[in-house]
Amino acid sequence: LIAVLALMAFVSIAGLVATAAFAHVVEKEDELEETGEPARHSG
Amino acid sequence: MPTAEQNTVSSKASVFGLLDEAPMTPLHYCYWLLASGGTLLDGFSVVALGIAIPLLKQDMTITPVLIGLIGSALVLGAVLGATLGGIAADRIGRKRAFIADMAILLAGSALCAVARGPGSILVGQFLIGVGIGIDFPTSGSYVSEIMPRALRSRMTVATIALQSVGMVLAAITAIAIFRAHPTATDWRLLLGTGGVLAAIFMSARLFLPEGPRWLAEKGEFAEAAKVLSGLIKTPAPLTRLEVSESAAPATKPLGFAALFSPRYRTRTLLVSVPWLLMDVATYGVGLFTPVILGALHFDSARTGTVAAVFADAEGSGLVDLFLLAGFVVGIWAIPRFGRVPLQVGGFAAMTFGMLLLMFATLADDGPQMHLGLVIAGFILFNFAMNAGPNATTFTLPPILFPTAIRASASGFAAACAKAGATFGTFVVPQLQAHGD
Repeated sequence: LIAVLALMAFVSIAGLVATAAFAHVVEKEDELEETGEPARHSG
Repeated sequence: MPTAEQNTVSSKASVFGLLDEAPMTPLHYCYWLLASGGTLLDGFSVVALGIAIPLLKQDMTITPVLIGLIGSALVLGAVLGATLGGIAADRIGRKRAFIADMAILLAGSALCAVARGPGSILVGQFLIGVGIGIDFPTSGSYVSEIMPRALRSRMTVATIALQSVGMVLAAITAIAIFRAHPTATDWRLLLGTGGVLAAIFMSARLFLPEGPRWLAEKGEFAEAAKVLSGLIKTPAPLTRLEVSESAAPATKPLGFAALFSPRYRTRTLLVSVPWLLMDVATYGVGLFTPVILGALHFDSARTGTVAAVFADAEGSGLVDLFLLAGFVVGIWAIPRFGRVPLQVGGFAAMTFGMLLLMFATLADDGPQMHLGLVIAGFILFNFAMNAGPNATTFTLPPILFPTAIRASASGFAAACAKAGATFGTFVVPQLQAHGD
């Protein structure tokens, strides 16, 4: 049980890291748009 | 003189601008409710199946392997449905996908309700999963596309929050059925109720208009103008839209493959990887649900299967109410703190909750003797998950991708999440059993 819980804790941390890392890259590329329709990627 | 492409972009921008700035009307709420029926049925179906399984085991000969397969059919159906449904909603439209998913849900529920053997239930649950899977990307896209900018994030979170409402509704339905008619065949009524709800939503969705952003994306500006006039109650801007209809769509259409193009692949990773990880982690806290229910005296000590299932339904309803509270906080917090900070903070608090559960388990006398810690870890994990990642992962794809691939992106992300749920539900127990 403890190994499974440790895996789950690790997975939660991985979710945190993945969100922060990918969001950082996306923000660098282009700001997060509220509409999903920024002029640069229309169509 | 403007080119055809400039005209098209300009008229799409007009549709998007009018939707963004429109005041919230009762019609917006009505469309939101109809669009959110799939997430409601998602929560309903999961809890209804969980409550039905002990009764199924009593009512018909069913092996543990088949029980596992029935549970996995729901999730695997959702993986398939989300992937294909997202693509379909981008190609044939949100409304057609909405009606198709409810028809599939209705067929699956009906098959379960009249099943003569486990095979029919297996197929029925798979169909229910497919229907739910199609609905996930369609509802997220539709709601984010029709809502004014000011309320977009809140209403999209409210859509996924209906998952918890569906869970509570399933528990209440089960309790009502057990009180009125306590027999081992009650599982038929319970699973059939999902079909009745699907029929109601399918009928009502016939009156739902197509998403105006999707219509504009396809160059159908007159139709988009009609929907807009109903929503914003102002005919003035429609002339502008109708005039621009003469301009042929000149932009190159995006497809599913665009999700993995250099332009969008980081966004695809952002919407799919954390959602997958969250669904894996969700399993861990589920291990403690029996402990929590036992502590709250919702254990299965009552004599007889129906009485025990009744107790479980009461306990599930209480826990599900608590999950709903997390979503309510998410609805309040998302516009204030933003999706990404809330998702990061939610994952951090989930980790802390899991550490509390680990600490309780590591203690010499076992988790039952540290119920305070177990309850604190359980509450923190579930609260953080629903106020954080469970709310934000659903709302991120619609804002990060343009209309042409919005549902495809949402569908791919939801399919990854369901794959994570499959891992959590079926692979992790194997690891645990191997360790024991």
